[in-house]
Amino acid sequence: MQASVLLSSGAIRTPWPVVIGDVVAAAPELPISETCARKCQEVKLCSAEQRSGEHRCVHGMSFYVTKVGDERALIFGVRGERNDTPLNRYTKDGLKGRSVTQAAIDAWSDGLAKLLLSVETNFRERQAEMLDPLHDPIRLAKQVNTIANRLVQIHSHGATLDQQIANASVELKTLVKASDLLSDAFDLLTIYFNPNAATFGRRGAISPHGLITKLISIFRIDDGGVTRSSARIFMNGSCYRNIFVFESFKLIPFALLSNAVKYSLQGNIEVVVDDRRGHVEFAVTSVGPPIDDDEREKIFQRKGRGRWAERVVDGRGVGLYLAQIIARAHGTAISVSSVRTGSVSDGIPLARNTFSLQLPTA
Amino acid sequence: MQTLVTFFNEVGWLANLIGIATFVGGGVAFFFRFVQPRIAAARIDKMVPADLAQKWGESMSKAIAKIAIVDDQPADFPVAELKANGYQVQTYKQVTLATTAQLAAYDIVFLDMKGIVKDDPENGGLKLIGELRRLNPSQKVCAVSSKTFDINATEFFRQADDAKKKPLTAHECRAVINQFLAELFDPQVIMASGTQAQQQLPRARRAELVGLMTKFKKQEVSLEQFREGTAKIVADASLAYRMVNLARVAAHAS
Repeated sequence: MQASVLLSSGAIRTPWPVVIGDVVAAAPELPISETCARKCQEVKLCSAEQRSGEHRCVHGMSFYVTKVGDERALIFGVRGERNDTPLNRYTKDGLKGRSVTQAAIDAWSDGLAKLLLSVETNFRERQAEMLDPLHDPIRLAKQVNTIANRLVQIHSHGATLDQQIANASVELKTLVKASDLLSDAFDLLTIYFNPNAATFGRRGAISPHGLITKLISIFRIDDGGVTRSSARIFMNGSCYRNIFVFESFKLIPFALLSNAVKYSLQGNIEVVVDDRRGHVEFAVTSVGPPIDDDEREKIFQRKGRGRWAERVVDGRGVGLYLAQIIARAHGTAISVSSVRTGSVSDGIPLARNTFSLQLPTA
Repeated sequence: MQTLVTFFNEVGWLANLIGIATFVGGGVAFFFRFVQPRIAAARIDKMVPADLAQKWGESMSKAIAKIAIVDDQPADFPVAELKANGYQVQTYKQVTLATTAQLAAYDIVFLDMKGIVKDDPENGGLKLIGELRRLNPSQKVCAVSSKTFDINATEFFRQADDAKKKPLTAHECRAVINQFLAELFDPQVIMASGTQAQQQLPRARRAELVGLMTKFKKQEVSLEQFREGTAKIVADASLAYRMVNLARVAAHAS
């Protein structure tokens, strides 16, 4: 929880006029100074100050800047210890009875920070308790996935795993697909609750080409409608180099491909993995609902969805949000381009959407 | 000076030769008898066989490396398969904080977070990993817990060298262990540790350490005694453990 949220709730009273974030709170015991009210009605000159400590404004009033949690707090319209403005008929109404010390400010901000920390700790403990039942399902999902892949190796034939999957029985294919998607879904859930998990473990070398090939072979499996599949995924580009990434990285193409399968309304889904000078470029392109310019940041935010996408299919708006968290954990970012094709499908205009990211090579 | 020149001019050439040869020979004999042994006695890097890079291989690392699995569900690890592959693996379902030093002696530890420390089942893993890091900074720790979703577990995973999801396959285990073994016992790593100790430690400490290493090599002291002795000579805990590794590699290679 942030201090500004706590302040705006009205649950706490402050001893001085305070600004935290966009929230301005007057104190019942110390109303806003007449000088502040008169001289700085719209724009408070003190609000631009970023340096912590006591300051004096041009109108002779003191203000303090401090931090509460990760937010800046401004205590304004007071008389500080270093304020030597002489009391006269112009200033006395603004300054009288408004003395505040740095020690009192520190004690107040420390107290508030402790309260926020206590709320945060309590929330984390409760969240950990509530999520505890996930412990075993995550283990079991990985176990099922491992066994499914082992069964494919035993009962199918082919030089590589994707060939073995392609040659396996329908039941085995479905098992591999379901267990793989389940395992990746749990991994995404893990990062949803603990974004730090994106950087757990150490970076290891992986072949982007191998990763995408396996993912596409999983997505192509037709499991009779149990999961939404797409046989229309094609891979282009050439990439022979490895990249050094965390284990979480595989979730980015998984999330982008899931997104493309979900929203694709026409034609094929194209996945490009290409060697560029000093980096590898991933791109997933599909034709679906357009993403307007003002939505390009929103769709990567938690629960953020495009206005046209909402009309195509239900969604929670977490896949791209999590993919972007993982991309940022790798020091890069996913970008999106959306170009309208001029066609319409079921009243929804179509656009060629490309999600791409670049990663430095090993 | 003039007197000295006159003296040499007055004696014969043979007497001159004998005189100079006696002086030079005496100097050389003094160097090899008293100076060189003192220099050699303090050369830690010379404890490593010169042909270590040619001799050393994964099987030799496997033979000396001690691996601990600390997990209340040991079935999540392919222990039998690892042992059959030649790895020296010991499993612990539960430990106590009092026995952390014993666990710190392992080269590699697979560590779960919850339910593994008798004294503190909830946060024992976090306390344990911090203590292991302090006691043996060279030790390799792989965090193995399905609690990655728990934000309170972040500190546990951050302190580990690697993190894996359970249950681990034999392939995953081998990949982690072999990577750690290369980082611990690779000849280049061992030689670099020797050079570092040679540069960092004062001559008297180096001589003391070489003496102890020689005794360990001759099996006059046990690994435990050698570890304790090294810790007393080398204040830097990380360097001390790497010196122990250097001596283990040197002893096994020769």
